[in-house]
Amino acid sequence: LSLYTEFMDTTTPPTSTVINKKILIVEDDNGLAQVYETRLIAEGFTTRRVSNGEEALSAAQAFRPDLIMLDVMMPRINGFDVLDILRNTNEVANTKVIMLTALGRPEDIEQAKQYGITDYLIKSQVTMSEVVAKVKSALGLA
Amino acid sequence: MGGGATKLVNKTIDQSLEQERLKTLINNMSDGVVTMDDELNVIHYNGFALNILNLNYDITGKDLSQLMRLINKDLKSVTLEDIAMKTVSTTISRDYRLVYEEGDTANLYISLTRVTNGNGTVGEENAAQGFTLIFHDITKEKSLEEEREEFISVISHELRTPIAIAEGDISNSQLLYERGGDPNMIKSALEEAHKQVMFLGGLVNDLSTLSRAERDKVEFTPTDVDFIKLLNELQHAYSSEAETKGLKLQLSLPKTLPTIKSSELYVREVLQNFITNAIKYTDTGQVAVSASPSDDYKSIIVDITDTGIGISTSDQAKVWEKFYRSENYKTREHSGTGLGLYVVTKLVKIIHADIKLTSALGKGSTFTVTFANLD
Repeated sequence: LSLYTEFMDTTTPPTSTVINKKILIVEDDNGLAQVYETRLIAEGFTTRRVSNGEEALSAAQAFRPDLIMLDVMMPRINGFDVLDILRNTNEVANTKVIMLTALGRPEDIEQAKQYGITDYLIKSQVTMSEVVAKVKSALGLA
Repeated sequence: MGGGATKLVNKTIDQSLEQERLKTLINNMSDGVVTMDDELNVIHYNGFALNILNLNYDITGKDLSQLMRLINKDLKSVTLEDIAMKTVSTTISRDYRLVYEEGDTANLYISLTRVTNGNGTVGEENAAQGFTLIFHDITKEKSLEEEREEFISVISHELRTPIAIAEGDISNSQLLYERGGDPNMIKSALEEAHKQVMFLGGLVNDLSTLSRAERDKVEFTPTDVDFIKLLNELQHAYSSEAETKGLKLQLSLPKTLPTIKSSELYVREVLQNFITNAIKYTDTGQVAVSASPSDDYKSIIVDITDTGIGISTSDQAKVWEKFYRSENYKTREHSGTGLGLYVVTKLVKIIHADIKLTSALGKGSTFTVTFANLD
């Protein structure tokens, strides 16, 4: 497994309130990942962004996020596999996870719940403000 | 002969005429019809039933559940007996598939009705007098339904992602503006939102071309197409797009080309798709377009060659699938919808063009399109 990681530079947020929480964004659609990251930085979070399952696993270990926003549909190792491995890895087993699904198929949500996710969101059915609200509520900041 | 006897004879004639009518009706139905006793042994059947079952012998007296190998939605084997057991009055289903000896399958519409005598109810003695099965092959309808469902699901996904990104970018710009954030960040978020909206516009355009193409399968009149003029126009239209990526869009044409009859609109649409795709998937080098007449001077061959990322052998077969986008990590950075090539395959069918692809991962691709003269 390659430990190749290409983390984005975290730029200074244009806000005075810095929140001491780290969020790992795992999303293979570059545009969507970028938009989440821009917003979370603006909201005062520290973020990292990766685009596949392998990078997600190594970033979870190295970055130790408070919360992972995890896409389901990714090439090779998908979101469920990542979640399964995370839940079975001691150091990161309790990391909060918000699952991102594209179509919100009930079977996907059911499967994700079995793995113990904190919350899920159906991309495109939520506005950016709702995404932020879910993140904050998962971290007990709301 | 007394009046009573005449009446009786007339009644018998009426009855046999009635029976003939029914027989003719059943035999001419475009559904398979089989009547059975309560153990599913065949009493009557029509020709269409044999057609669907692909049998060519008399099935009278045979157990129909032995003659019909059925599978359900989950591909599990089901017998007609299973269905009959669960049938209180009528079972109608579009979910069973008939399995032929050679392993082919056909989707069936099945309507199985319990025939009861008078008002007897199931379970009582003499209640079930047998069954009537009406069925027909709905394979074609099913595959159209599936295709439509898949199309709608893929389309909604393809529409949703850019909408989500655009919404996010606009929402972020608002937030940044309210907080007096960096104007450059606001600018780039708005630029991204704009890009996504333009992309959606292109997608909607592709969809409307697609629906026009579906219609034109039926009606379309070929006209003269001047390839030299058309290719020059395309080079002019896409040179700047290539140049912004540092690419050269080269065009090499012979002095003359035969004028062929086709659809200028569709030829343009097809070539445009190949040229824009080539530009999109090439980071350095060039996109070269060349045209030549076929050996018999009846068709025109256009090659579009790029020095791009290429297409792996395993992906080549999938290139024509609707919306297909390679899962290859590197290629995912390009936000193609994949709808383009699907539209191309539809148009190509209408204008009887032929496409060949030569490519290897990392070695670039050549698409060769042969346009037929539809005169």
